[in-house]
Amino acid sequence: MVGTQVWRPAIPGVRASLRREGAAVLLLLGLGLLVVYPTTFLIYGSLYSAPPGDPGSLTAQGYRALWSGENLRILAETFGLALAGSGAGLVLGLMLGWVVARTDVPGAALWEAMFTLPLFIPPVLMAAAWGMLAAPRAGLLNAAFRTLFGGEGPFNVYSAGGLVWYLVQYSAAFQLGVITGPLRAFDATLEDAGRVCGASRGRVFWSVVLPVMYPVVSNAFLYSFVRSFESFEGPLLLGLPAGIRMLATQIYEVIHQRHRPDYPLATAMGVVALLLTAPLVWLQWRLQRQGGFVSITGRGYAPKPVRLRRWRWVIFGGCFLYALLVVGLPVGQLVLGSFLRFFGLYGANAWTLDHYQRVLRDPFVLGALRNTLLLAAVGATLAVLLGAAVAYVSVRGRAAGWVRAGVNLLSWVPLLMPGVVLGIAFLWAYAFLPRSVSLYGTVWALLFAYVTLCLPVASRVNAGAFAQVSGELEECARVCGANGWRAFWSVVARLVWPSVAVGWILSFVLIVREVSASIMLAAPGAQVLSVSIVYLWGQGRLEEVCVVAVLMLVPVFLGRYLVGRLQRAELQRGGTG
Amino acid sequence: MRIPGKGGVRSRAGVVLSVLAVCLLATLAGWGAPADGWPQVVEAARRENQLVLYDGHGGAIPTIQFAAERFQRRYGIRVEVSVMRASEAVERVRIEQRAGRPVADLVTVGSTTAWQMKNLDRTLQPLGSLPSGRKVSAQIRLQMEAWGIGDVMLTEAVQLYGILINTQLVPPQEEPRSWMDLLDPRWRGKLITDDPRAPGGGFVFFSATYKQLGRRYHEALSAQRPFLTRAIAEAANRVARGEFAIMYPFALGLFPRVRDLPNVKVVIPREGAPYVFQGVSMPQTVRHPNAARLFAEFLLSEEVQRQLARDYLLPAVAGTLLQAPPEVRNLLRARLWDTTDPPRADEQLKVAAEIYR
Repeated sequence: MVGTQVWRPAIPGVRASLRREGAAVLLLLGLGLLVVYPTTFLIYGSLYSAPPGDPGSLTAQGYRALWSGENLRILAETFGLALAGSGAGLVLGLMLGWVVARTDVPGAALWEAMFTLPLFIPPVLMAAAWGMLAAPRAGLLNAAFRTLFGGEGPFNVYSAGGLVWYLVQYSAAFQLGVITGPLRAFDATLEDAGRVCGASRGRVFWSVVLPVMYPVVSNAFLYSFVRSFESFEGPLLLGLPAGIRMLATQIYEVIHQRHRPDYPLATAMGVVALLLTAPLVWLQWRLQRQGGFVSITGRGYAPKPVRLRRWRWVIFGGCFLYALLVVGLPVGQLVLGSFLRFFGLYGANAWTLDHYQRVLRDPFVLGALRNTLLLAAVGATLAVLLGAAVAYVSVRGRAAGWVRAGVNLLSWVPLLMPGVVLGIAFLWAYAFLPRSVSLYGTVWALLFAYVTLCLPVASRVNAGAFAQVSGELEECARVCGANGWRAFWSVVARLVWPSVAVGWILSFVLIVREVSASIMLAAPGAQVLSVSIVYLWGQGRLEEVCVVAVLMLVPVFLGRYLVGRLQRAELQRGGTG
Repeated sequence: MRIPGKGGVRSRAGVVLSVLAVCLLATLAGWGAPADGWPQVVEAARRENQLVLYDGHGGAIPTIQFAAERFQRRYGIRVEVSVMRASEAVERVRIEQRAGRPVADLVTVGSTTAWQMKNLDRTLQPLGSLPSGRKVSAQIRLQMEAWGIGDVMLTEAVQLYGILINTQLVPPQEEPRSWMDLLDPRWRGKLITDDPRAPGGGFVFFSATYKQLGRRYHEALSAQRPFLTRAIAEAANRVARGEFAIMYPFALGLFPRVRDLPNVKVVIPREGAPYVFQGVSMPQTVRHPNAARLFAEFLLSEEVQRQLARDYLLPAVAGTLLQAPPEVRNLLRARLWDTTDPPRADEQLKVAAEIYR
């Protein structure tokens, strides 16, 4: 009886909650289908002695194998390398983000687009480019060093340092890309208040700007850390030759480099990656909930740039050097590579346009390009819409705590599992759907997988932006007679659109670059670009891979540049609030 | 095709007897005879009007794409080629068969993968007799029968392995003439190799040389600190760029890619070339069985077989090589030395992992 007395009030509570928060609960259920269903297959795979569909028995052999000394060492090394890469990326991203968003450095919009370019280079090409630049003997940098100073060159990209450098490039570019928009929209009156109180510019940055920017920065850092933790191509091409193994390369080896793939071990590694990184997400969410991080309020805001005065050209020079080192060298290698007869061999007769002609006439690559552009545009749009819904519910929504926490956690899950096993999980999950649901083998399977994979980045970017906009702005609109949707659209959406646009571009690029799920789910006759890159790479046609990358790089770079320009123009127009 | 050395078939008399045995078997089984009702198969294939092919070679054999385009042109049957790695092709086929959602009609495989799919996954069905089946070289048929996969895999070509050298880093007098020359201390740290610890060309080389030269050979080779990689096409590029002096084993199918560069050369050591069979198999349940069989037959056509030779793959149809350009003939006429033993692949991979840590 006591039990009945306890439970009765709870049920109406849940019912009321369901009625009140219908849309949020619906979103939670949708995310469950999209995310939990494939994850269940992953967990099942880790606890079963055979892959789904084959006779087997429940077992913990995968987890037992995982706790060997070697695997634990790999986990620890992966953690350390990812932390080093994303930590250094955070410092660089913040510094450069502040420069391009908050100062009057010449060419800020151009630098912003430049600094984020590494994100758009296929990782396999970035690793190959750095292999050519900084290989111990034959690397161009070492050759230049020998010519200038004599002796052996000091650069060796096949090392822990080289691997961290590789991770830093992506990490800094991502964090800068996410942080810049909100930084630019940061209300300068907050900084002015700090300055009036006698704080130096540096102190104001650490004590005022950073704490207010916490949701954006922590989201970007955490996302970046997890991406580094699961990084694959760089560790494969740069780490393994130096004997450095990271989690994703170990999973790859367990699946692809054994006579029989060891799915229990591979999926157990995926589950452990999920378990190791999930607490970080929870912690970040908790911390985010404790603070108030609003920088755009109803009082109006003034995102005026900091005048650098005599430092203007010094910082311009610093930006130029960084762009040259991080972007100019690998991207230059890429662009040059697309015009070389043979990637890496230079000379008077080394140049050609043949690769462009061949790619632009190759029906396989052209078909893949067309499919990819369509899938990426639709997938990124759906992901951004879903991400906006997730961000709104978890950051600004009035749903019960458990709904918001659930929505937030589920939106992270696809990121917390390494792509190599997630591709397998999608394959298993979609193939074993009920007979009446024919998803497997169609282009829809790929679209669902892409939206799921883009959900973390789309949610993070949106969440960071939403957290900065004060709720009083919406309330003000409602007081003026606008309904909820109108208030959201005309107030919040207008303030956060630059971040949403960046989220769309990042999602678009993520889809274009995605390999694991694409290979596992690509419908016959609907190949995608990343698979055609695998195809060209498989034949050693690196120059044509460069052509494909350049063809993708140009529109994305222009898009990124335009978003930066538009945002600056809009802020200048209405910035004085 | 020259006679295998010490490996599979050990003597000339043995070969003659084996070929006779194969011919006898083939006659008894009706194997290789023009299939009854083949025009009906062609007609049914046209009605099916589609074929899905999983290219498990990851695009490394360009002839597959060539064959797909020509097949489509000749029969008007649409061929959808999906490129992936071998392990991904195996898993996609397995899950499709288990879930009852067949998509792939054919999958390109090597002999080790076909053995695994037939005996462990049980996801393949016999291809049945094909009109051109009799044209496949007797040695290939014999070996395939010995492994018990002759019914489920049609071999269209043989991949041979040699050594790729950078001529600027390896002077003519120092060129390796024997597989043993790779142990010369002067090559320490200058070798790049396909990783022998994973199924692929490196493992074919490991199996062949392990049988022929023993464990100590590999222990000594491992001490040379070769750079292990799975990106084999890129490995050849790296030799051409001068990052490494020597690549071994070098799949001759990659040669067209670097053939025109002035600074690389392929050497076939005097012992001969390790080799592996490349072919196609048909999953247990398929939606376009007739189109699949017609495509398998088409792979043995003169058009495709000649293209295979042009792509530096030894055509499975005896005699095709005679029509190949001289530079191709010279390389592909190399002595076939030894290959993998599919039923023992798992055990041998473990040995490779022990030696190459």
